[in-house]
Amino acid sequence: MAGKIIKTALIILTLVLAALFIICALDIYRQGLEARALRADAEIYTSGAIASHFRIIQPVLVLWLVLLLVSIVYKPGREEEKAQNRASNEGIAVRGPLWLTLALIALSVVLIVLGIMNGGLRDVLVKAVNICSECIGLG
Amino acid sequence: MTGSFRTWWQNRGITKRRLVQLYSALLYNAHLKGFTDGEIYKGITKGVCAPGLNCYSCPGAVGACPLGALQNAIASSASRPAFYIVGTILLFGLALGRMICGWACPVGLTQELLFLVPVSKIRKSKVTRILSYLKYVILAVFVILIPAVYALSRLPFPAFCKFICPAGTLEGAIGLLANPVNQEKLGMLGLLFTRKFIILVIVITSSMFLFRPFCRFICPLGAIYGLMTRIALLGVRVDADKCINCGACVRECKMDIKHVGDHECIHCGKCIKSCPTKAISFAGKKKYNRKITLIAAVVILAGALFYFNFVYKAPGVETTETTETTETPVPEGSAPGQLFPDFELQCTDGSVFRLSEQRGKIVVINIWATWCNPCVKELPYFERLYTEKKDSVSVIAVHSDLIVDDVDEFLKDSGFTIPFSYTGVKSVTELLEDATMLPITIVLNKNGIVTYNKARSVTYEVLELLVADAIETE
Repeated sequence: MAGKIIKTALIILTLVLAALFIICALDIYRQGLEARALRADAEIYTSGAIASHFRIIQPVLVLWLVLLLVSIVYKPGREEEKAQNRASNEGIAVRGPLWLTLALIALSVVLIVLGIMNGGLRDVLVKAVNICSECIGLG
Repeated sequence: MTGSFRTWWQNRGITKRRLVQLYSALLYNAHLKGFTDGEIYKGITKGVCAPGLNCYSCPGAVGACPLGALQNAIASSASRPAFYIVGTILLFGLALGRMICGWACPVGLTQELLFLVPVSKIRKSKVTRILSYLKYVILAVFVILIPAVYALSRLPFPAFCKFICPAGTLEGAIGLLANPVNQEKLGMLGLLFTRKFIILVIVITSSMFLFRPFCRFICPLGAIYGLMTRIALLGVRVDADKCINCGACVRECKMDIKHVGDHECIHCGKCIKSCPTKAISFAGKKKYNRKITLIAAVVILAGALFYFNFVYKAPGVETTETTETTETPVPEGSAPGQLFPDFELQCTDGSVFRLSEQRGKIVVINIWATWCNPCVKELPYFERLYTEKKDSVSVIAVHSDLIVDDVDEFLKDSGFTIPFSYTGVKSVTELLEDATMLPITIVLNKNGIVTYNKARSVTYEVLELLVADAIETE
């Protein structure tokens, strides 16, 4: 019974926590837009805004972590639920011919060598040593 | 003692596969001091792709992300065929197939750890099976089609990284911003980050209820490897003579497989134990010496950790220091309030841009690159500033000095009139402490004093404000 209560509370808190994170992100963005309406170069995410919103999330996060710890301690060595699935084995996956694999491996090696020669390796290196701000979501 | 230890770790799900997952995650991110320094690794191994999904903007990453590299290669395929990255992904896929997803992907490991959180689990069903095809649509649209279409207009556009990839948000953006050294970069965050942060929260939360939701429904890299998994050299195999078609393996599996070893199978090997006739096994399992493999693995990891954290020195560390001379009342440097050192650049139109000759004008320096999408998008704003305020503002666009092959071709039909330079720009870029992130905008007032120097995108309205600020500081 206690286990069920802990599990249910953990589920509810997980969803609340996720919702809080999303709501806070949207709220910071909204506040940032208001600031930007007054001045075009105003920053949207500021350390102050993040800290003030994190203070709202913090108690829920701490409670979630405590509950997670309790649920782990309460049921040590708990076996994972086994999925009772509708599936049945619809035959064995047919393996492709080995000659095809080896031929394609040879092709991939040729492509890599050609790529190194045409500057492809250098391209990858340049992109990787520079932070693509847009790619990681910085903007 | 050994037996009880083994039982202890087996009870906690610490399997051989989990150890390999942890090992590969650590090996991909062996540059641990990057997390404390807030800097990414910039050494030569970044030219080599890791097999699994691991953002190369993560402070710990020592290799490139195959998916990010593939999108960038497609974006620049008009000038250079993407042989290298296609060959690399093909080689990984043919050697290991989706075994990479099950054994050597940090994103997969993260989801599996989140799945250990004891909440109710959503089982696989017809719906999840249908959803598992979504990743092929994402592969076709976000990884191939959109970057290819944008490549025609010479605009680099890694759509999957930009709109979806939660690994980039977690490892790259949050990984960097978590360090107080990078507080300055908070100003870059906006709508893009908000959207990607929400995707990250959804992926993390759903990973507690669903087994590997990102791998099953979203990951285009898994989709690529899935296409090759049946011809891969390694992976689980079913002995057709022993198989009795009982379906125990499929029931045991949490992925949306129809049968063991198909395109959804991540070759985790969990089904091996469930098979009543022992028909399932790993291909090539007995062909290696365990002790030698273990020693080699430990040596490689220890060597990598030692090299990336103690031997490797970030390039250009010395050059970021500002120079102070006794003659100048204002110290020289690139930080706001400092006097930007004089430089001379050869422009693409044949003219020479000397900073000392621009005294009396506001100077706007834009550091950009053809392969940087935000850089290319903001160039028209600099052009507008240059044409509208030509008498009071000098503008120069300095291309990053790493790859300059396609700059002339890019500028040929662009119609821009601002001075562009890409030769001998080291004198400028060496002064910048944050030159690994583009675009950079530097504004100098009429006396050559830096009033703004930040790596972030700007709009025309922001440029106008920066110029107005520079005028005020005279």
